[in-house]
Amino acid sequence: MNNDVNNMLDNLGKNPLGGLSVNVATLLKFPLVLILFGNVLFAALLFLRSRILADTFQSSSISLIKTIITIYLITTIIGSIIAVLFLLVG
Amino acid sequence: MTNTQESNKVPKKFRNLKRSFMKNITLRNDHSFKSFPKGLRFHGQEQEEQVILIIRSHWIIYVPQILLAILVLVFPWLLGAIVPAIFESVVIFISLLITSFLIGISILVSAIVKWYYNVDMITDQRVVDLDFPNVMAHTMSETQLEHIEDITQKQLGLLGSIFDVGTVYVQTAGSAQNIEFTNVPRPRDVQEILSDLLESKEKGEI
Repeated sequence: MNNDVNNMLDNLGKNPLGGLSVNVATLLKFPLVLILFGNVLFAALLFLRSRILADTFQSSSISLIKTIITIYLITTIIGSIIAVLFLLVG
Repeated sequence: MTNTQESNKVPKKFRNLKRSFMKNITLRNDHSFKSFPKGLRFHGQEQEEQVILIIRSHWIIYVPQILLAILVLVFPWLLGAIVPAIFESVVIFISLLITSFLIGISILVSAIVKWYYNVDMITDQRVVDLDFPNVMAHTMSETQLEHIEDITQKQLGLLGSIFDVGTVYVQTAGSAQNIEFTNVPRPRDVQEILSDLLESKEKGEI
C-alpha cells in the first residue's frame, strides 16, 4: 500500500505516455494511401471531363491536350500503384 | 508575324470593316488572343458561322497554381527538415516523393486543361463563353450579337495594370444570359472589337 502511494507520488508531474514511442513513418502511411487514391480519382474525372469538353470545343491543338491528359492519367495510375507497393513493403 | 501577314489572314468579308477593328484584330496575336483561328469547331456552330476571335485567360492568372505545384514538389524535403525521422525510412521517403510528384503534376495538368477549356469566342453571329471552373462542372453560355445591349470592361489591381488583364462584361437584353470574359488579355481591345462588330452588324455590313 505504502509502495503504491510512493510510486504514485514519484510519478506526479511526469508524462504518462513517456514510454510510448510513435513511429512517424507508420503514421504517414494511411494518409498517403488516401491522398494517392484521391489523386487517381481526380485524374480519372479530369480525363472524363476533357472527353466531354472535346465534343463541345476543339481547336487545332486538341490532339496535344488529349495526349497530355492520357499520359497524365497513365502516369498517375502507375505511379500510385508503385507508391502503394512501397508503402506496403515499408 | 508582321501586321500585313496578319491582315492577309482576315477573310474578305471583314476586310472592309472599320480601321480600328482591323487594327485591333490583327495586332499581337498569341494563344490567348487569336483572331480567325484555323480548325476551330464548337458545339452548335452554324455551317457558315465564322469565328472572329478566340480569347483565353491570361497566363499570369495561373502563376499561383504553378507556384503551388513547385511547393508540393519540394514538400518531402520541407517535411524532412521539420521531422528528420522521415529520412530514416527510405521506402516511406520514396513513396512520399512519388506522391508529391503526382500531386504536383495533377496541379500543373489541371491548370493547362483549365487554360485550354476556359475559352471565350466572338463569331459573326454570337458571343460564346465556355467556363471550366473545376473538374466536376463546366458551363457554356452564348448570346446572339443582336441581343447585346452594353459592353463594359474592368481592369483591377496592379496585375491588371502591369499585364493588361481585365474582365469584359457583355450585358444582354431581356432574359438572355449575361456573359463575362474573365481575366482576359487586352480587355479594351476586346471591348472595341465587339463594339465595332455590333456597329457593322447593325449597318448590315456582315
